[in-house]
Amino acid sequence: MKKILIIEDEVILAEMYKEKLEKEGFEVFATSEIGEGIEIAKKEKPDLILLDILLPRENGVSFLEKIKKEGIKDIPVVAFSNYDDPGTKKRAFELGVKEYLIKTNYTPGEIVEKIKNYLK
Amino acid sequence: MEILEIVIPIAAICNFFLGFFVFLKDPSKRLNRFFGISCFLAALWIFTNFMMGIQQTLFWVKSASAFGVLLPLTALLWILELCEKKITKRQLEIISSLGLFFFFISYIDDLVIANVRKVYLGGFEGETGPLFIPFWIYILSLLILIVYTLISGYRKFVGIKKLQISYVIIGVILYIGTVSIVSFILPLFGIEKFTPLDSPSSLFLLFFTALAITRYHLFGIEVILTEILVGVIGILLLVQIFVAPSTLWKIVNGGIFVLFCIFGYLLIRGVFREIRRREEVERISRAKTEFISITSHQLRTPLTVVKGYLSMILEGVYGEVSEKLKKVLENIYLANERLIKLVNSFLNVSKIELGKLELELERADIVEIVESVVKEMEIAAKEKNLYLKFEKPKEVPKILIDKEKIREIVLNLVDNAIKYTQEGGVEVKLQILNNRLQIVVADTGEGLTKEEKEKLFESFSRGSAGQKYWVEGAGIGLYVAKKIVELHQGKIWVESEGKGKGSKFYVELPIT
Repeated sequence: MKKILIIEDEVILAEMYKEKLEKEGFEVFATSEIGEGIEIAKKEKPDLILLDILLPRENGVSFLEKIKKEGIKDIPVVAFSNYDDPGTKKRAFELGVKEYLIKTNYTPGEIVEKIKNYLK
Repeated sequence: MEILEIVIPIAAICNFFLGFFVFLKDPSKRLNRFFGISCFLAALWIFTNFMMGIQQTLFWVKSASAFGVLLPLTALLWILELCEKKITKRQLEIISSLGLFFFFISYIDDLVIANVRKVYLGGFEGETGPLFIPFWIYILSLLILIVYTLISGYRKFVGIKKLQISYVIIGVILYIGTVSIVSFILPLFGIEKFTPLDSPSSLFLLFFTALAITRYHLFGIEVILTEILVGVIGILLLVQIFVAPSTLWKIVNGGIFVLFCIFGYLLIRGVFREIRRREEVERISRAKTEFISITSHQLRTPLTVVKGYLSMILEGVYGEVSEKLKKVLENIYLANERLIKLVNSFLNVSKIELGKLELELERADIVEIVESVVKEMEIAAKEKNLYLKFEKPKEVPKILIDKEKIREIVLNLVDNAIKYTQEGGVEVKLQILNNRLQIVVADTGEGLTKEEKEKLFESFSRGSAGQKYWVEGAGIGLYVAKKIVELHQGKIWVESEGKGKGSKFYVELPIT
């Protein structure tokens, strides 16, 4: 079973994506904290990380910087956020995200289709 | 040479004060700091050129070349800042240390300037040293970088920032142009009497930067500029009183001076008031734009939840849905999609108004984009019994565009065409004209009056057909489309022969 880590602070959204991904047969870990996210990434070695960008304390970009420092390079990261600032987007791509999806433009089903491309 | 002897110190003083006040206005801003330093160095450079005319020694020739190298360096720094172009710390260190290197070696004997036979105002005759050519290569590279930064900044930004940059570009062109003519081109033909004009021609840059300031608020110091101008003219008038040949002229000049002081005061006060008023208007407009931006981001989260759960219900994740309920849920889903589209448009408008809209350019197949739009809109056309045709030339080159944004524009145009057409249909056509690619969306619908055509691409306005049939778009789609097409260096316009005669929308993009 493929493992997915969701880092998302909006409780309802996190629950919704988790439910959809579990229905699709993934094992899902969810957290709203970057620190915890890194711990899970190290321990569980997920096959993909779905990363929100606007988070309460530290944002998704600093998560990307941190995993780079920690040497977690092989896990594909798909950023998804309703924050579409061009600068942030550019930075996220520089730090290696596969895609930067605007949440409101995709249904959970469409997001699953997108991430399947990176799970082969 | 008398006029030059007056122009040069005035240029130096103006540069100095402008830099000083811009710096004082807000020293915490890097733009203000760099611009201030740049002006200060320009003043020093002009001063050294001036001193060459007075003292005619090698020291001043060396100083002129030393400060002449620091000026383009600092100019590059504030122009990078103005155009929001970031360079790495390492690049900055390399460029700056090269500048300092050339600054110091200008003072070392025989390296840049070997010896001088004759020194005059703004120029000299003599031999150059072995580092003279690298010295000029460095300066020329800085100038090329400045021009490149400005042009890419001009392309990147829209609105006020674009106008500010365009003023600075004019100033730079005139400045570099004058320097090249008086210092390089004219001397080639043996005319050297204008070479002293090279340093004071930095006044061009100063003047156009000042225009950018006064008309478009670059550093927010237009009142200071007015003060400088009034001050300089005041001093000149005051000097006139003392140098007047007779008592009568002294009195006349004194009268003019007093009148000038009164009007000068009124002018400064007027400018000050005007700025306050404008700042207030700008503050409100900015606050409004930011409010839209923040609320739109906030709105997106609940919209995502509604969209997400509805889609999952419709997909049957929570069990089978009856046909009747399915129809209802689909309607809610479509209404939610409309809201999402609206919020996206609002966000685009606020990005345009904050100067933050950027393109993600890639070489893309426009045929593929238009085909996908036509395919998506086929159902909507069929429902209204309209035809939807697509015509294209045999070969269409791939062009450099922001795929998603251009797709959105075409979708918007076809969507509008179908909405406003009750009979007949819509034809989408691709055509290539003189290295430009046109996307034409022609319908047999409502048509537009002359006034509507004029207002169609403005913010928050719609043709009267829009008010009648279509209330969801808030008329911002075409405004956003226009801004995006312009960012692509393209054009968008509409042709219509009048009411009831259909409309033709054109999007023209350069083939690059």
